[in-house]
Amino acid sequence: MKKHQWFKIATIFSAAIFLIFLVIQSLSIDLEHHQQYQTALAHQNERKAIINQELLKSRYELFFSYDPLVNHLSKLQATQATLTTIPNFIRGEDRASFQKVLAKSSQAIEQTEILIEDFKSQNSAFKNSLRYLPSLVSEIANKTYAQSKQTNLSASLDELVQNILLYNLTSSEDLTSSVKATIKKLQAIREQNISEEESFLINLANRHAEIILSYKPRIDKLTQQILGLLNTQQSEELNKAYYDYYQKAVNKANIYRHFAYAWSLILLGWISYLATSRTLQLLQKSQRAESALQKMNEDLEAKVKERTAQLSDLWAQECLSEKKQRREKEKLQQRVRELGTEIASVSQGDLTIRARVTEDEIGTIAEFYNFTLENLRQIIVQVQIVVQKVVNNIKSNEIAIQKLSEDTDAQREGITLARETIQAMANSIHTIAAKAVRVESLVTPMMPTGEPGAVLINHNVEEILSMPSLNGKTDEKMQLLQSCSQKIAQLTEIIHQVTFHTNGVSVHSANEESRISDDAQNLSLIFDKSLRHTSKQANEEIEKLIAEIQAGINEVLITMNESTNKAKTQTQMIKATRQNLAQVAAMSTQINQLVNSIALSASEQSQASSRVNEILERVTTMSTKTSISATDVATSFKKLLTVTQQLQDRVSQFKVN
Amino acid sequence: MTIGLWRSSQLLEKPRVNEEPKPIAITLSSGAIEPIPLTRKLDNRKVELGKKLFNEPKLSKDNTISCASCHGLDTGGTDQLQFSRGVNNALGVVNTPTVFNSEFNFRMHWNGVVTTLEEQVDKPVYSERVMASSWPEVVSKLQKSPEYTSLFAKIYDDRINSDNIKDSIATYERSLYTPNSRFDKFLRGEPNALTSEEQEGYSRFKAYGCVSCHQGINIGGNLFQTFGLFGNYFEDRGEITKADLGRFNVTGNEEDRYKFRVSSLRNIEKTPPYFHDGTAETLEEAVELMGKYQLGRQLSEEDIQLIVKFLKTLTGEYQGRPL
Repeated sequence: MKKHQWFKIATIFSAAIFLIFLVIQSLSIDLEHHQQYQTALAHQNERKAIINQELLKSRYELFFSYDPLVNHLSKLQATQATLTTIPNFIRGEDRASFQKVLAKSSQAIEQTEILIEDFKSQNSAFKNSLRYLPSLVSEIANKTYAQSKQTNLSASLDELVQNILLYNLTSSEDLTSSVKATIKKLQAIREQNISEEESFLINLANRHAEIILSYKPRIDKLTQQILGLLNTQQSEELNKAYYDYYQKAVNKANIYRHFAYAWSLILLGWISYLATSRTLQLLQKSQRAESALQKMNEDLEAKVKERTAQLSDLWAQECLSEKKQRREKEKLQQRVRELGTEIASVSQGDLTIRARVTEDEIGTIAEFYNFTLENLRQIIVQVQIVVQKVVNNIKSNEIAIQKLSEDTDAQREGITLARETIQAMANSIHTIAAKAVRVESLVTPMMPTGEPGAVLINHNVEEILSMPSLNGKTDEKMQLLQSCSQKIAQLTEIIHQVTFHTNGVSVHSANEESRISDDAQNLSLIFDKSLRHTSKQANEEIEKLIAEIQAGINEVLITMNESTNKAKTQTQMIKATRQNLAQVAAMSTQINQLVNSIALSASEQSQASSRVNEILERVTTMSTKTSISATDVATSFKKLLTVTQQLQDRVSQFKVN
Repeated sequence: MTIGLWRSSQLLEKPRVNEEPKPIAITLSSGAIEPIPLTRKLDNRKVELGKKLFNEPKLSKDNTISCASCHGLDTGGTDQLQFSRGVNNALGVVNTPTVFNSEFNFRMHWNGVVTTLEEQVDKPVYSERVMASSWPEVVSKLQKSPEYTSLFAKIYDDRINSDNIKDSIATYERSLYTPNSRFDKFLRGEPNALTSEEQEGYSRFKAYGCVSCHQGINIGGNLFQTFGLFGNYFEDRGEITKADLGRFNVTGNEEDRYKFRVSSLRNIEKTPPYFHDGTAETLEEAVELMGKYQLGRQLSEEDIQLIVKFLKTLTGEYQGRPL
């Protein structure tokens, strides 16, 4: 904001504050408090008047109660306590001055209370004597009259009572001397010859009279003091002081009020001036604005007309354009419908259909669509070819795999047969060993003659001679095992070839299928992985098995050859023994040693045949596993064939020729 | 705003209420003695709480002395002992005045040291010879009691404090008024309420000047008077104590020496022994001493008996039952 605006705001704010100040000052008189205060002042005056009345009653009445005096004094003190709360509109020096007047009033009340307490005490004692004296005088009079009939005493007592009562009721000082004279007179009578009781009673009467004489002035003085303290003058002084200060406060408030009037008028005038000048300014501004507005209106009108014309032209053009667009749109929609009709057969799998190519946008789409269809058709053709190849290959491999499985079974059976034969051979060797022992036992008793030993030797020789034929059978079995092993190796080689070929076909098929659909692609990939994995695993196991079979067979051959050689040597030695039968006895010791050697050899052969048997068992187990693997391979090929045939069925749905 | 100012000026110039207050009704007593009113309006909740506190030993330091310890209601509102005993068996220095009709006394205690019943409660609580306690101590004890906490909360917004305790006890004490004595009935217009002897006793009571001091609603209790207008009671009795100085102990004025608040004669039959020193054990003895030291003579036996018979008609009722 600008400086002059700040100045204006500050001026308005100051004027308002000043007006508020004047209004507050003009309303400073708390009327309610004023009324309460005025009422308390009036009550105080009333209380004072009542206390005065009660005081006088107590002073001059015989039967009285101090209760009203006490109660009104208590209320007067309570009223005075109320007056100590001075209204707020009495301020500053006025308040201090009024507080002094109020303190004076409070002090007077406190003093009044003290005086009243003193008054009550003395008045009670005074009234006690005043009340009792007539009774006492009467008693004395009765007694003395009855006893001494002293008229003097009786007259003096009557005079005393009369003067005392008058003294009580009047303020004449002359009565004091009369009472005192009467007391002296009674004292003189008392000193006369009277009874002790009469003397005591007269003395008591004098003492009561003296009390009355002494207390009355004090009580009267106290009464006057109290009445003076509670006089209307003091009350009026307090009332006047309060009224003066109240009027002063009212005048002050009135002055403020007048100022507030004046200031509010000034403000009203100022506001009126501001409003008028502002109105004039606004009027002038509005006139200027009106003319400017009129001019603007005219310009605007012209512009509106011009713009309306332009808009009319634009509208006409827009309408034409819209019609043209609508026609083109309809034409386009017609072409789209035609295109849809043309290529509807594609949804049936006919890839030989081609859309009509026109010059418009739809023609471009049709051209692109035709291109796409052609590409698709070519892909489908390639896929069909590849699938056909895969099917053919699988079928051909199926036979080989079947053959492999059958060969494996035959191999397993052959190995089982070999194991049984070797077992028979081992049993035969055991028999030889047993027989050798028997020979030894037979040879030993024949040592002196040698004839029975020769018979036995001959028998042995015959049996031994039969061994080469057994060894020959063993050789044949071993030869068979070796040939089976070779067959297995060949089959493995075939599986290698099939696997390699299948892999190639699968890769090719997968590539082709990826162009057709995602489902076929996923299926091909799963099948391919399974086939390759199964073939590879079977191949590895067969290779391992064959290697182990070959190693076992070689060992069997070596052992068998060694046995055969040893048997041949024994045969030759037995032949020589038979030829030199005469020399048997002499060489019985040597024969015995040879027999032992035969038994040892037979035992070694038996152990070797056991080892061969164990090896063959392992070969049989491996062969069984090979057979199972070959069966699995065959099953996998069947699944591959099923999937491939499904793929072929799907691809065949497309018409490509 | 201008209109508002004009309106305020009108208010200033024309006060809303009359400046002259209504005149206060002046009640002129019909006689020296007035009967006790039959009923009084009091806050019953405060009366109940005050009664509980009046009988509460927790007001004393060692929780042994309550107001009721010295002001038994079944013994005329006193303990009927010459001097009461406070905490630690401490002996009092003045005779315990009756708590009945104490509200009608213009000052409390023999020397009139306090004006109101509320102020009076302070004295025994702090007195070493009575309760030897203090308000903080009392308030602390009472605050620990859920019952008191609840009772005070129902009556006072600011709960348990010394002012509220004093207010409730004073309210209860205001309820201890004894109207309907036979003499009150006589004053109310039942001449047969008193026998002829009792009426004669009342006549002598007035004739001998007793009524000069014993007047008002409480038949005493509204002024101080010197004990011994005729003769020196204290020299005759001997062993003058500080308590014998009476009002002098409060004001220090020589004129107040041996001055005491005049006792109320209501229920006087039930509150022996008598006087501030409790020396008069019987009413007859008290009347005799009063005649001697306040009237200056030895009253006859007949006078004494008649006055005593009158005094016995001043026994009132508490809650409808004679004391």
